[in-house]
Amino acid sequence: MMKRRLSIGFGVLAVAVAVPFATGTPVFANLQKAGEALIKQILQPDVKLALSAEKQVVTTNPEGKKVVTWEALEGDVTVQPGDVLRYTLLSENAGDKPAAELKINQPVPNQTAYVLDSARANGAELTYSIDGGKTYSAQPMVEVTQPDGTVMMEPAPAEAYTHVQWDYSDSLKPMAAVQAVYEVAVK
Amino acid sequence: MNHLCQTVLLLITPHYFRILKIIAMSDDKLQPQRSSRKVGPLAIAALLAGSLAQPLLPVLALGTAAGEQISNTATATYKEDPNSQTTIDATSNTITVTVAEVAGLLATPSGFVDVNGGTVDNGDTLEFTFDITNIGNSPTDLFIPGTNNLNTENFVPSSVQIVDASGTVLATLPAGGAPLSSLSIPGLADLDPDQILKVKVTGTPAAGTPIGANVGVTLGNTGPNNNSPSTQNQPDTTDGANAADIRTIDANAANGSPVNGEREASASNSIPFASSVRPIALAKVTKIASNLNPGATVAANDDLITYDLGLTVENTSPNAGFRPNNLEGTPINVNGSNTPRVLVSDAIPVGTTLSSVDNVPNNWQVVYTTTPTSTPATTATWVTTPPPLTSVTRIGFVYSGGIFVSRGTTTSPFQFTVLTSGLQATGGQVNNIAQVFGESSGDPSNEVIYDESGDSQPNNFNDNQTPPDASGTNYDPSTDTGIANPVTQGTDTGNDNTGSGPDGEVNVIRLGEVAGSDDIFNGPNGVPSAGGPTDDNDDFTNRSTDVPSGLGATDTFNPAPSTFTNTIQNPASRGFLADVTIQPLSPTQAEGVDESTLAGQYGADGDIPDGTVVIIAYDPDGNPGNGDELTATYTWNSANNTFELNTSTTGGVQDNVAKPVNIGDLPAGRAVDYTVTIDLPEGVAQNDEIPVPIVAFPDDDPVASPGYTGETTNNITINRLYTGFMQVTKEVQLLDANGVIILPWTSDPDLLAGTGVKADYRVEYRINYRNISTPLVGNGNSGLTVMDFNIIEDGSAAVVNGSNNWASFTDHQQNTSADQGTVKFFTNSEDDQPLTTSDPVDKTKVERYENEVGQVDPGQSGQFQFRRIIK
Repeated sequence: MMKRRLSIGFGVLAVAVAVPFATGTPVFANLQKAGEALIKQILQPDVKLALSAEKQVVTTNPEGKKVVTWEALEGDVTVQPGDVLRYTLLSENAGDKPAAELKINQPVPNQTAYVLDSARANGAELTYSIDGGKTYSAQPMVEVTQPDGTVMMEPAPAEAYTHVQWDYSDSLKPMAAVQAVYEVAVK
Repeated sequence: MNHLCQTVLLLITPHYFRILKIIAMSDDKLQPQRSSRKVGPLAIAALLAGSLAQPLLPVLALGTAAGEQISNTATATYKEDPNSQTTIDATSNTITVTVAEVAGLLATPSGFVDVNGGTVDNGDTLEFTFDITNIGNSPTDLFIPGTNNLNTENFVPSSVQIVDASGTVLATLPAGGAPLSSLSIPGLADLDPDQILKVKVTGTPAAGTPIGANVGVTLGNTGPNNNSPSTQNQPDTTDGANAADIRTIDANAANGSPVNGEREASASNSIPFASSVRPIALAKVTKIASNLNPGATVAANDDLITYDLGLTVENTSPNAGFRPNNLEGTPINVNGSNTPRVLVSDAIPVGTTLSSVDNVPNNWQVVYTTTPTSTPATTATWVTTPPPLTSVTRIGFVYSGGIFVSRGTTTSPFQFTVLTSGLQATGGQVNNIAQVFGESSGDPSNEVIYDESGDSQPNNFNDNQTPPDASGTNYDPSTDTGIANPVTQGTDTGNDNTGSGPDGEVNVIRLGEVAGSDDIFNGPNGVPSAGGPTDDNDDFTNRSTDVPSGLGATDTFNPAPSTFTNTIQNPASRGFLADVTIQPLSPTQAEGVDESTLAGQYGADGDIPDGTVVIIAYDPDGNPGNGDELTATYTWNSANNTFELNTSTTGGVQDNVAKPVNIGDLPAGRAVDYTVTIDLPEGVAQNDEIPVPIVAFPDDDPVASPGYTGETTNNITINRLYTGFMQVTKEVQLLDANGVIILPWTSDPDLLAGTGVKADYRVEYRINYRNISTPLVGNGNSGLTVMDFNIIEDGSAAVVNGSNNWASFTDHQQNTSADQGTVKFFTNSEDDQPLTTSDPVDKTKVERYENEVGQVDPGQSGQFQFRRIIK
């Protein structure tokens, strides 16, 4: 018989748990301004439209908070499915006379879906189309057939939106500009 | 008007509207405002998609194809003169952006053949087949490892080959592996999105493989190499491009690299040595709710739910250890005759009665039982003549077309309708799960083949294709009652048999007020609409306190406070929610507050230690110290099982009268974060689980009665705190020189001390580890995964409560095994470099073992075992 005492004490157990890391560096938005020369027309309103786009970049700062920044889409920047794009349309009256009843129309581009409530009115009346621009309303509704066959009207989902329209009741004075902003998500 | 309509017009038809409805209801953020009508359940809405929904095809390429261009041009109209009819058009510049290439890769085991049949023996030719799928959005080349770079287990590979769907060899990889493009296979220079490449690894068992040891191979080298999600579609950057990887290689470098980098994946398969591939029937029963008829009134207790069941007897096995066989009957008593029958059975859901049988497939006979559901379906008394339908406890379908249902057969729908007469008029929840019973054709042991509905695996196989037990089926009549319980069984949330977790998952239909779309979301950080195991109330964030080093297994401690960040959101598209308030609830209160009729999903009141402090904090601008922060501090009182509100602060100044955190109005679409700090008292045990349900709701009277007073618009999230979550136990077993067990596995040191130990006795140690945190069931939840778990067994180390001293009086003996990861054998305790990583011969000097387990997912467990012989 051996006079030994067996022990089943634990060895050292090392456990490491992953922590989230901050990814990337915030890139600050860089709003583009229309670069076109203003062309004067004698006693005519002349609304110039300059469209620019940015991509949403979400990063996590060292405190673990999510930080949203916007990266200008120019040069070789690409997007991927799930990215949110923000389009900014600068409408500037380069003419000598006020432009009346300005209506700005933006399609929701192919392969993207409108981000609900992302359009900013900036003094305009905002309406939306879900039928390719034929009709517009402030709150597009769709008919939904219920299991029992009855039809209910319900707010249209983001995927149904085809156009956003800004309707400015005030005239746009010469040299004045308005900015229309909306967001879409890449499918 | 001269609007340019550049977008493709969508045809507005009723059919299209139904699609819209599905989109709307499958995305919580888009749910419409609640209306007073009876709301159809999400589950029902999903299946209105009919052929549009293809839920059983999980592999989908990642959205828009690479290189597609998104083009945008704005137009405007205006007038020179408001009174004029003439409009002037303006068109903007066009902005075009290109969709980037995103790489994605899956690898799964897809078949096993022992070429000469029979048992897996020395010299047998074994073929393991794997499917590699491109889930990126662009064609990709692939690197495929050759025979020199496979992770093998008692297996000597002889070839790695590309085969087509019928098994014809298209190319053989060189021993060092090669890119797909270099193999010159016509039409397969690269792999298109969603395309599957079949790779066959051929070889033989290694000489000297012990009986029962796994013979297997891993194609690729990613993460734990165990078919878990951590082995799929991982960045290739972590370990660099190496010859053992299955990894993507950009097929078109000219258009840039994938924005997410190259990806890698691995797949493993194995079979025990000297086992034959067990022929077994692989039966899969499925269930969907196919229709909801709201009945004559708006009340929820006259609704009719129609269920469609399906049965598939599989023709391919998810696991190499089994070969598909036909499904024959198991004894079922029908009309007094207890003879073998294949039975598809469904317990009539609680709260409902059978209303009608709507479809019986050819060669099947409908049967009924009125035996109480406390008796399992296999011993119930069934009849073919319908009894009064309201007395039926289970409905069944038995096969009448022959002795067995052939493998490769799918039968559906077994269709019946139930009436929700037992629900409250205001609403309720109907839970249902289906079962199938039979036997493998010709199985002399007559083991019952058993499956539950709700997922895509036959025979209750696990999600990672492993069987429920070694025999490939595991029916226990005492527990497999067929009574649906979403809390313990989980739910098939999509109503499409894609549930995850062991065994089957429950189909849940909510009716009336409990079905309402949520008007407020409260969930984990950044995921306010997260869904938990049963609904969007029991979504959760799991965190762990630090555990001080040096604690003994049963020592208690006082953990530092832990802070959770949660997010609430108003999902509506218009308006706002007023006076949104956040506060903790007891688990019992939470059960009463949510819409569900279930119990237990929030844990128990007794789980929270007396004196636990919970602080809710909200900082509107995320800028601390500028006077707008709100906090409310609660203390748990175990005497009355409530969180008692002690103090509150506004801008850092204590309020005269304590009040809950009221963040004010929450506009449509807006999401805000808040924090919950949980401070546990002194004296808590390790590996404890403390669930704290947090409710967010618009307070109906924040002045006179602030806090939760039964507001029906509310949403809960669970902040679940662990005091450590890796449970580790060590056990010992003593065997004599002949292998006879002297002392079976025990972790009791006294038992060991009391056993006479003789020279030549074998001492086996095993370390069991388990990640006790709740599995990541549902969506958007935050779990606790151990990324880098190491077990270090030092035979001469001073450790807590005694010492490891086995190195001084025992020698190494072969029989080391690890469920996961590599094992390193060190000659001396203090050595930096291991002697070897394969089990050395008996009596090799080994003073330290290390099992580099790696990643341990929530709920996962494993073992590391080694054997010593007394000197």
